[in-house]
Amino acid sequence: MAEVLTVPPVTARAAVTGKVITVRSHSGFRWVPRLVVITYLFFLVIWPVALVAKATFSRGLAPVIEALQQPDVLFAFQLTLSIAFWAVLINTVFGVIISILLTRYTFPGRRALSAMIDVPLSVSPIVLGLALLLVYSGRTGWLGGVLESAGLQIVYAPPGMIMATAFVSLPLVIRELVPVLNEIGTDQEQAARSLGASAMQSFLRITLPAIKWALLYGVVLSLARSLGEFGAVKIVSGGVAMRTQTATLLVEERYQQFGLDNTITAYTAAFVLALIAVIALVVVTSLRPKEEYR
Amino acid sequence: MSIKISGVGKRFGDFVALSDIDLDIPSGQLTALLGPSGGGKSTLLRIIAGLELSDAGTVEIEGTDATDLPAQKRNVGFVFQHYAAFRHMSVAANVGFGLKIRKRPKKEIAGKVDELLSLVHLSQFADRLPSQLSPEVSGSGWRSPEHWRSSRRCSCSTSRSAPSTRRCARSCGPGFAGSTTRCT
Repeated sequence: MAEVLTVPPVTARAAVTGKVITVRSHSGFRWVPRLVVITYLFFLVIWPVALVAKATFSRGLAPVIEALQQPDVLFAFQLTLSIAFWAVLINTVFGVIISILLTRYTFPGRRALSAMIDVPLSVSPIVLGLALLLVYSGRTGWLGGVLESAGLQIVYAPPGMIMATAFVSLPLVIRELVPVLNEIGTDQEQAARSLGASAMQSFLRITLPAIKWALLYGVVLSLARSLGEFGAVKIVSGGVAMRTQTATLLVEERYQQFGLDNTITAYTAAFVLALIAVIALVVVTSLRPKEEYR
Repeated sequence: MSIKISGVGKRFGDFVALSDIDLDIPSGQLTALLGPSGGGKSTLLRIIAGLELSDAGTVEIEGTDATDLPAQKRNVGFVFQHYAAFRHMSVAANVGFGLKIRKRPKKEIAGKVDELLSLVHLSQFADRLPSQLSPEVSGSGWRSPEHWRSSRRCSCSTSRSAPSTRRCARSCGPGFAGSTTRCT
């Protein structure tokens, strides 16, 4: 969903309704930009993704079902889903807290914090994985040795993979929430406070209902990103089959092995990953009311 | 129930909004604060309501020091300049919010909401969302917290619209020992 369309102030009448901006132009040239965009998206997204689906089902349905019944494939998906679940949960809680901190309070270092939130988006996930390794690795990490002697293994185990995934997808929730929190302003919250609501009541009854769609959208984006995370997880997991191999790691491993079976397994896993993410996006987009309360 | 303001000061960065303000607001009266735009009228009201903390001085409400009391414990109603209706709640839920937050019985809330909405002739809009009201209706001051509160002592209004001013004056009339601070 294209969230922001920047349209220069044209003399043509622009009907701004929510997210759709319609500009009526005089000539038939309105087909040109559409054609350009559709061609661009076709070669960049639609065609390649369609080819993944085609490659998945190149030998019909039977090998796909067979691939999905392999124990290491099942394990990889279970691991991916549970890591995504925890990462999204952590991101939701901290995303809301950080967003409220950024929009409702002024404190020294607020701008620095706001810029820091974007680090996971701008720095390569592999670098983030290495950074986590430097802190939490059992042998070489700063904290890892202490935690490991306390019986808590972070790196090459699910906790580290959850951290890496949460790290990478944290900005998605915050970047959805901050503009909405800024737009609704503080009047309603202050009115609630003056009517006797505590800070928590004001948040639950006033703020949360106002940001719920943005939050849900952020959560789904975060979920989609978590399911697809590869680089950071690859570094901190070790990618051992049946232990720390997520679905994306399985796709890479199988794709590099010889044999048609492995290739089909790789494509099947890739297809299922894409399918889950797309379904989540479609469900949320269709649930979201067209006319939002503003 | 009087309000006594002594030595209140407030700065926003370099800008001095209030400096050493002393003011007694007597009980049972409508008090108006008049002044030019940016003169600090709203800031003073926000400090009285607890929506803003003063840098210096004290606020006494009814003889007790309320300087550090949070807004929800002050029992001061506040009408916002732009009404600040809860946009995801119906008109009835908006009006009943103050009672609901105090965990009053549902029946009592419904009765009070009905009473207040019929007082301002808005009963037929009870189930509408604020965004579904016509500008005339939504601007008529239906959201004034004065109407919703069962235990108010005083209310502040930063509203500039005449209807809400009149209505507020009426509702604060007989049977009310409250000081209304108002800025126009």
